[in-house]
Amino acid sequence: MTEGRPAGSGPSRRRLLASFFWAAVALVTALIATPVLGYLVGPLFRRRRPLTVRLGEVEGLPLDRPERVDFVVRQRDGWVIVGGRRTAWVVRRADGIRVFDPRCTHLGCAYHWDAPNNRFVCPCHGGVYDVEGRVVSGPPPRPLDTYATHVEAGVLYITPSPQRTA
Amino acid sequence: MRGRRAITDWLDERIGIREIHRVLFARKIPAGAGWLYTLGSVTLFLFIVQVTTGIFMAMSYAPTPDHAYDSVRYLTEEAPFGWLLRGLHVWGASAMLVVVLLHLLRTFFTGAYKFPREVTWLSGVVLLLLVIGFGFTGYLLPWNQRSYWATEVGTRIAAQAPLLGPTVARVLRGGEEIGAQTLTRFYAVHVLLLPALIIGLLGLHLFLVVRQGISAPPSRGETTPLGSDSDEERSRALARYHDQKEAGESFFPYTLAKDIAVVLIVLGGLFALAVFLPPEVGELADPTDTTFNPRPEWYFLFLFQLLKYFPGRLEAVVAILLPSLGVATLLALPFFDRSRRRHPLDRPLATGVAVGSVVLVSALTVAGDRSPVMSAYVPPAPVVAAGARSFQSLNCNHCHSVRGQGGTMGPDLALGPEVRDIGWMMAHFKNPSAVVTGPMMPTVGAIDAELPGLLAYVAEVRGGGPPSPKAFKLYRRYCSECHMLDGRGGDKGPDLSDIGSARTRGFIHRYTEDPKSLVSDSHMPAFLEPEGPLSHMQIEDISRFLAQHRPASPEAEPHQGEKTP
Repeated sequence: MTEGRPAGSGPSRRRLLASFFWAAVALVTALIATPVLGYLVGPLFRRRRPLTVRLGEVEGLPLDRPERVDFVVRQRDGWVIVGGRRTAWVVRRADGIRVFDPRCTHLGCAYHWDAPNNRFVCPCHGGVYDVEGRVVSGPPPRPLDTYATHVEAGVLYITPSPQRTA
Repeated sequence: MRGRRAITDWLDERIGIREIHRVLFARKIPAGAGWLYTLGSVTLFLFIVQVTTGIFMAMSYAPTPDHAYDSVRYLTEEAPFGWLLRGLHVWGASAMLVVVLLHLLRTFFTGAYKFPREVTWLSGVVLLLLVIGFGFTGYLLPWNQRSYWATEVGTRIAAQAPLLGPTVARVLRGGEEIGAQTLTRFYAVHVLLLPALIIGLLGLHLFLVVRQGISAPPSRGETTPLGSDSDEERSRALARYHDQKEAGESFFPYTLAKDIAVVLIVLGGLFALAVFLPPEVGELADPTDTTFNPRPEWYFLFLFQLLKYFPGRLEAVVAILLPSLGVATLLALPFFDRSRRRHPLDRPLATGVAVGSVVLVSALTVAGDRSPVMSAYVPPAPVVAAGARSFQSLNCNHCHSVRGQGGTMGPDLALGPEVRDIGWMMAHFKNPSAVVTGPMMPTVGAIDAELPGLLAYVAEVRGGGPPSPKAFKLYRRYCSECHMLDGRGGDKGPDLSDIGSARTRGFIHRYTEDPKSLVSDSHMPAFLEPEGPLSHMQIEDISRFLAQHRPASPEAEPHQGEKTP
């Protein structure tokens, strides 16, 4: 390959080598791009297992009056396990328990319970919800988001990822 | 076609693309530049691989002692394709050094460093030093035992240098000891400083390669002028080179096709190594460990081995002076080499010295690799090590002790009365009060990902699980002739009554299989088939039995009340 003229005339050998070169460049690029792109878009295909947190005994919750309950979520975030404090609004009514995500559905501000007027009030833009989480007035586009709940042996468990209320 | 021409015209007017093409791709390469002349291109390619994989590895890396190891483990074991990125990067680093050294040897043996390519050579030597710097700084980043101890030794070698040594070592470490500051320093140097330097020098090196052209392969008897020879002789040499070059073929596609063919082979090799010999994550760096065998990366092995021959004060000479002399020789080579010959057979002295050095360094590397490890040690399985870390981070030792180390609220895990079933253990790791009643039961809150490690760790501190009923029989038949256990047995070997507190199951197992692999002057025969009489399973059985044996087991004390399911 290095000396003299190998079989085949000049121009066709040149064309052949040029094609080989570009094909090899494409192959090398594809080989290196595989792990890189796989790494970049990989998180799109990763499913998170729902997390269940023990919130407390149902009996301890007041009836018809929202109660703020703090809880600690210990979960993995990449290579670290973080234990973060979180909070939720729990409303126990005769027909069951609802747990609300503590962020206003408008722009995510932390709302609070306005006990004298029996409503949730968001301080940012004046969003108002009733005890069921329905929008009473203000800019919120939809009712408060809820957390999935289940009660087992008198203990309330929640899955603290917000779900939209239909 | 018309559109393409218009684009070319447009680019040509603005950036001179036709001239770039003529100078870079249409330039001629002297005939006879064979496969050895692809090494430079392969180095450049490997550099691109390192940069690409490195950038994306950095997205899963935390340069702090708290998280570096876990982030590398995450990259290797969980991030999609992370194992491949790291495999390519780690093997690419070794490949880079190999190829750079071969490239240097090719340049040396063909006398290509001589007039007019002295500066190309100089920049190449500095590039080699930068590559070594990449290796040294990158090695620490996984923050595992190997990397920690290699850096400990490496910075101590620097500290041995006369006068400035200790200062240099402190600057390298960012303090007295290797720690958070060392890691961030090494990280910044590895991903910011060295890349900036290498890009500049690489630019110079490549510019000179294009400007001076690839040296024509030397022929017997051929001479080349020294830099100090007359103008006339130098221009005659340049003119002759010009003719050789014009007689050759163009860079594209003839040389590049050869380059890319070798690149494909090298890349295939890297993929194969990354898949079949993936770099391990190792164990978390532990400065208090006294059993680890520090071993340098293979390209420092020759130095590691050499240090063994020079005790005491001479060590500084070897560790500092010899490498410095080597570098100085390489840097000064084009200036003190007064020979006008280029063919390696026309320069027997230079060729002989170079071949001798290569043989010597290779022999030292092989000897260093084969030298027996000094302290016998078997690392725990990764899942056990992960469990040990969870054990720490969940503060299990507030209540439990392992062989007397830790709290006393719960049972000592190594001496505990019985092995619990897995369901009990998993419930316990999440919330002990679910299975045990007591006044001060805390919530532990282990998450699912931590459970396998905790299970494995607890099993390991108990000796890896229960031995079979036959274990004691096996022990009596094969071991008690030489070893004493609770006052009974032979005395050719050490008393094993308390072996469980001194050695782990893993160690006992490996030692019984092949004692010399751990302690080179051991007198014990190997017990694993076919050399010995025992199967892998039988040895595991004996190892578990011994690891759990305690000289005088204290009566199992009843602990806090059990909840019945």
